[in-house]
Amino acid sequence: MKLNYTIKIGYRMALFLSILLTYNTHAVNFDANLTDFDQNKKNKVTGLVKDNYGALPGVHVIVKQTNVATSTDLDGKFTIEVAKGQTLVFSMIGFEDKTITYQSGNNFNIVLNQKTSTLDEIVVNAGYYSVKDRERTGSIARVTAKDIELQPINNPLQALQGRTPGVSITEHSGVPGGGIDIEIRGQNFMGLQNSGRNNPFYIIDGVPFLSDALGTNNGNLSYEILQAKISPLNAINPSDIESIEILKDADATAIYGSRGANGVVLITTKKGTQSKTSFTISSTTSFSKVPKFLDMMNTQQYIKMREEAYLNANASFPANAYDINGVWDKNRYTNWQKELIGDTATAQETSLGIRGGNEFSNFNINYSHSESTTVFPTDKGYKRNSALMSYNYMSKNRKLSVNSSTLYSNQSNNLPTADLTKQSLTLAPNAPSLYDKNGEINWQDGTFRNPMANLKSSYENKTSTIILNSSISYTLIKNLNAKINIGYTNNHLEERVLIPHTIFNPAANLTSERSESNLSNQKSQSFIIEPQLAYNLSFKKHSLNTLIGFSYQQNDNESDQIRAKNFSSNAFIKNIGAAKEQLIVSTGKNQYKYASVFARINYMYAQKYIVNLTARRDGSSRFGDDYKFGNFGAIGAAWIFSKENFAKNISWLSFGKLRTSYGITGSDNIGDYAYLDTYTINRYQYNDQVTLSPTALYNPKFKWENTTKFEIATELSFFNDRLSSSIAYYNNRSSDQLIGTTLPSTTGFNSISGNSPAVVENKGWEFSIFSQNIKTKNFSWTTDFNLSFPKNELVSYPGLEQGTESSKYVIGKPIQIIKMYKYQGLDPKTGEFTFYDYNGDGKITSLDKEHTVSLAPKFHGGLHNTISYKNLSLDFLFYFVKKDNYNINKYYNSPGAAMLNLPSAMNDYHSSSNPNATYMPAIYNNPKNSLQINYTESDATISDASYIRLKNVALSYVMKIPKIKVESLRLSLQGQNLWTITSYKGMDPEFVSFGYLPPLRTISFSAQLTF
Amino acid sequence: MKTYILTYKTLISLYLFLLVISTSSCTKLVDIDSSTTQIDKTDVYNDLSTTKAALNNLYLNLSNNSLLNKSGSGISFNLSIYTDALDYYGTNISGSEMYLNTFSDNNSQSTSWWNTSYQHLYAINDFIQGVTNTDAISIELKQKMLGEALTLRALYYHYLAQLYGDIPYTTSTNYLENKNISKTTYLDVLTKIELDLNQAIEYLDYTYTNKDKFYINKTVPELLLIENYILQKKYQEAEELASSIIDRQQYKIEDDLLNTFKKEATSTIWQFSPLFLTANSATPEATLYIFSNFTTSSSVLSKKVLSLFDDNDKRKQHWLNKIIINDQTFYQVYKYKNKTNNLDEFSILYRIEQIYIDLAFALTMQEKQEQALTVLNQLRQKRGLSDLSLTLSKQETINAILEEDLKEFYTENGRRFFSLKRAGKLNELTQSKPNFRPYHDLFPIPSSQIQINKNLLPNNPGY
Repeated sequence: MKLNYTIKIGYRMALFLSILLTYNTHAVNFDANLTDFDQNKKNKVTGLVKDNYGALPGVHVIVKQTNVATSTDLDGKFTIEVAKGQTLVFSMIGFEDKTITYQSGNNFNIVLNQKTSTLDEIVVNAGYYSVKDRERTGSIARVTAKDIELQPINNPLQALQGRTPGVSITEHSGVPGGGIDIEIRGQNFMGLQNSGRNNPFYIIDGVPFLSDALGTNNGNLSYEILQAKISPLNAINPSDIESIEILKDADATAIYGSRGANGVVLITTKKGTQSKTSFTISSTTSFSKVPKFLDMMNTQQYIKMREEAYLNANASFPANAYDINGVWDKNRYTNWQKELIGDTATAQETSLGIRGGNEFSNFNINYSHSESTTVFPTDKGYKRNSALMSYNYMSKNRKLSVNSSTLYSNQSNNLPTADLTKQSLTLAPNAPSLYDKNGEINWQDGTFRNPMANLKSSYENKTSTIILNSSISYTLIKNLNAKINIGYTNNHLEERVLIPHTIFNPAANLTSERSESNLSNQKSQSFIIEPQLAYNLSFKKHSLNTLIGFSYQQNDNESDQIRAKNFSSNAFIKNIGAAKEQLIVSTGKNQYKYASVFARINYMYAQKYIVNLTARRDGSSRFGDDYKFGNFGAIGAAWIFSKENFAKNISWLSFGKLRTSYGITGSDNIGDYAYLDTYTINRYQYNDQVTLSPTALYNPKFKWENTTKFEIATELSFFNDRLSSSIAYYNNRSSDQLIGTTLPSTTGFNSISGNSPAVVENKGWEFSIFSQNIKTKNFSWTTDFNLSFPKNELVSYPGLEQGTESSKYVIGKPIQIIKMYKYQGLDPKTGEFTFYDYNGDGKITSLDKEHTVSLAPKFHGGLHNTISYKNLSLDFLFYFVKKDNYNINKYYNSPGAAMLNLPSAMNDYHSSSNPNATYMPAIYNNPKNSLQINYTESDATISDASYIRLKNVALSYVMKIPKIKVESLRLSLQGQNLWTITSYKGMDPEFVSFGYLPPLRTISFSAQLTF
Repeated sequence: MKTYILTYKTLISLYLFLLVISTSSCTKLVDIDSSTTQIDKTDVYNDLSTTKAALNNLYLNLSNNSLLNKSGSGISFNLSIYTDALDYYGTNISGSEMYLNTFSDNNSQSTSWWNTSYQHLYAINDFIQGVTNTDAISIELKQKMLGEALTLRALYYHYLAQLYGDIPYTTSTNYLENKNISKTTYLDVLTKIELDLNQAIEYLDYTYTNKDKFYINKTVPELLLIENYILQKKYQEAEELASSIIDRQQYKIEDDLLNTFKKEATSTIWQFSPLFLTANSATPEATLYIFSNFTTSSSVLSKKVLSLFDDNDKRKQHWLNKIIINDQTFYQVYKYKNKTNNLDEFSILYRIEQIYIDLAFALTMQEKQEQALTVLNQLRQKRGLSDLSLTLSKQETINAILEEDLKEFYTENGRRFFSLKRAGKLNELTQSKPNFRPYHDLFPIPSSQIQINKNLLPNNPGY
């Protein structure tokens, strides 16, 4: 059955391809005939094409009647054969076309004029089609190479922070090769914030790429260092990117149907250009440090607190209280943050590129290598090699075009198994020195769990990624274009955790028998084929663009995890086969298929009124038989009112557009095979026999999640496009949420999959302003500003009160709320925390967790300025966000209770001499421990984590040295996270989980030479 | 002209192509290979080997992550620090809360006991349904498997009822019934357990499925039934059943105490298979209790228990290990000894010595102290101790039994807590545990569960 079906698909593909190919040969004949017809009357003419500044290479020259074409060489010269009465057309992107009718002569000087307003000409990628920015009906934000290149970043998503309205980016960690959270217009879907349910859909050069974090759910080997969340986009070198487009509203995303709900991120890599072949060599060196340490207690404060804790408990110092019972020096002090996370991380990136070609055939190849170390006391770190190769071809008659790109990268990361930040924030300040007199790891007679010992173990990963894309398009007849897009991606992540016996105290006399090696592999492959047909028609004032296409995608994922112990020598620790004990923890394979038909009809009248209809029917293997298919679609409309007569007289208004859209997108983010009633093979055995456990509660009747999106926006430009702005309001509602409904464990599981009746609304305003403040011959200053006010609300949830989710959600509040105790201060008499007794029963129980706090951002935005004077330019970006987050109170225990250091703010603990304190008294074996636990679940652990951050500064200088054929030499100095204004008391307000390295402050120098 | 005609042909083919794709066999386009890790439920019970795999899972659940697991998260350890059996030197929050008797209704350990128990009960109930309804397995084999599953169900409820009092009792797998389930009273739960155990005793026999005693035989439901009878105060029935097991002489107390916790021990009634049989990994007990320096979950025998041991007591010589840390002497639990390269130890859940203690207790509660002390002395002799006088009073006898129970079974299945509780003597703990209160005889129903099923209200007193 299965085989049969594969053959069928293969046959259809072959059929389609053969149609294209056979047609092609005939088409060429057709041209040849025409050319023959006119041959005898031809004159050979030469000429030079220039603009105001000089010769123009790569200008397309065509004889209109014959399709004979050429392009100008490096010196702007061309030679072409033309007959009398025929028309010569000169064209080049960014310039106005020039047409002359040939009469006589054989030498021409042509001057092309630069197009006056480039804003009119900006074309944005909308995925299956492109659209002029000014004529688009959808909401598409865009970041281009010129902004991306200015930042010393590892992951392309970092470039979006503060530059795109409606897009919120949070870095998980300052460790290179880590994870990044992206949220486009808020969280549509309920479920754990880290579940990936709100991830957008990534498309790289037309090929869907992995959306979910890597390294999750397969042993989570990187949990303690990268939080088991590795961004798949680390594979892409940011400097290979030409543009990133973010599709937000229904009009832009509905053509992606069930993948469009969380927005779509389109990444386009750099292509070849119409120019002489040029080589680019660039090199960047960066230095990064932790921007701010948390202010911790010093030894004196710490010892006082610890001793008081035992005094208050009427207890003598026990044998394991080494910090105060005399085993450790009570006067010693170490700033553990400086020791453990205080190094400077260095990074070095070099790249070599070559690009060139003409309008018909061009290429771009770029190879780059980067290496970076960490702030931990180890010289290991992250490496990436990446190669981008793209080739474009267009036949001379411009009917056939072939585009292909290959992106390959391999990354390796070699890190400590655990982020040392947590230890640096808890280690007792009088803990012994890391190394003894002989330079060996100091165990202090077995009393010190030395963090350096853990550095003998390591977490290593290797990722290799291939993204292949080719698209062939052919103009069948005038205005009718057929295209087939084929893509393949392959991603392989190999992770290892190596734990040699040397991490233990040598006094224990352990041997490599205790050494352990863990290996986990995650492979995913995806194949996509998308034949499409586009038909464009314009007559008089009408213009029609249509598109119909089919998409078929197959994903195969494979994962396995092996644990090995007991090696004859640590030299073999990476060789699982050499271990005496090998355990296959898990192996798994799953498949996902997806098939769709999509269509678009775009109608424009008089370049003023535009209607855009998109539709998609999707089938997904993730649903039961009756629910496999879903229909999605949108309507968008725009009115360019500045072209109306009444507006033409308003001299200061150069452009005005009103646009709106409404539609439905969806999501099938529920995991493969979830609709089946199955048993799962466990990783562990009993009596050496396989064990099978029930997988989940059975519910085959779930269907697509839906997000209905509405947007209305206006785009205005003033004073000859010197000032432009856009204001957008959106309202998205997500329903039929595919979420496990929480169930009490008496049902056997924690939840059941299904469509929840809850409706979540994300609405908000997005503002952006671009201003060309000053523009003179030598000096220019531009300002970009954007601001987003997202608002999330649980609109309705029938059955919430009676149901199981009432402890998590409240109707009318965001889905990111947390229900907490309401903290009411410390009772100065008793030194006890007090909480508000919501149900008035005289005691504080979990029923009093009725205070709600939201961690959703209230607003965020960016302010970006570019100032340039002659060849010097300065670019800087401020990013700001207003939100609440957890503070130190969430993560630290009662003062003195354990051998752990605390932030110096916690010095303010209650005692007879300090009755008006913030924290409970220092006490060992705290009998009021339950109050401390309530405290960590109260609103005292939440505080304002808003910040304004100078995210990026770049100062660059460009030189042209024609004498030695240097096209350009750019020197730049860049900085990242240079300065932060915040009232947040923790280490850094930008974090997802406590105890991980915050985003680093980076300074880098780079030089780029093009010749 | 020729080419134009071709174009239209091409066009038509293209449209046909799109049409074909979009209409026919769309569902098949998204048909997928089955997963390599999942098996359809109906297939599981239509085949003997997969049914056995489902049964093995029930054992794996119990040994690996149920409340009876032997690592730091099970009751064997936690009820030992909760009572006076062990002193805790670790730093884990949940461990400290347990040791100091300060925890609230969201204690992670107690929450996990509750949750995993009901998750495992679902698997048991699903198994019982699957096996009952299948035609692929012979009647004898069906009965044997059902006997094992019923014993497991009784075992979970037996411990839940003692820990939490009134509890939800279900034999159904229907989540619509189970999600709003109310509590069944403690006594009713005991009656239901008795029914399951009697059914299991009928289905099972005394032989073992494998020589390592990894699977339940008839003795296991009998042993649980003895405990169930005692809780129901049916002391005579308990006495008769206990005597019959001892008289049958299938199990013998090992003379050499070094053999008691070895895998070939003749006293063993039921022991767990390790996660990987061939890996020679240490038992969870050896991993947990043997250490040379304090770690995050370290504990040692409490000073109180240590003071109870006579120097002649072979248990002190063989089941405890003296260590010195920073010039202080501690005795660590040393029943299981193989910290590495473990060739001869499995975790033992039940051994015959328990029947002696239970028999002695059942006898005492029927005022038959002399018989009780005779039984107790049989155990004492094996441990190198002199006989107790047969003329002790009832209270003295109960105290003697409790002391012997503690010295014999420290860190095994939380017996200290349950034995004190059934003797009505939990309050004695207040002497050594300053925070211990009378309401600590029951654990709180997890707050997270009460929040999502209001029928579980009210919580146990005190929380």
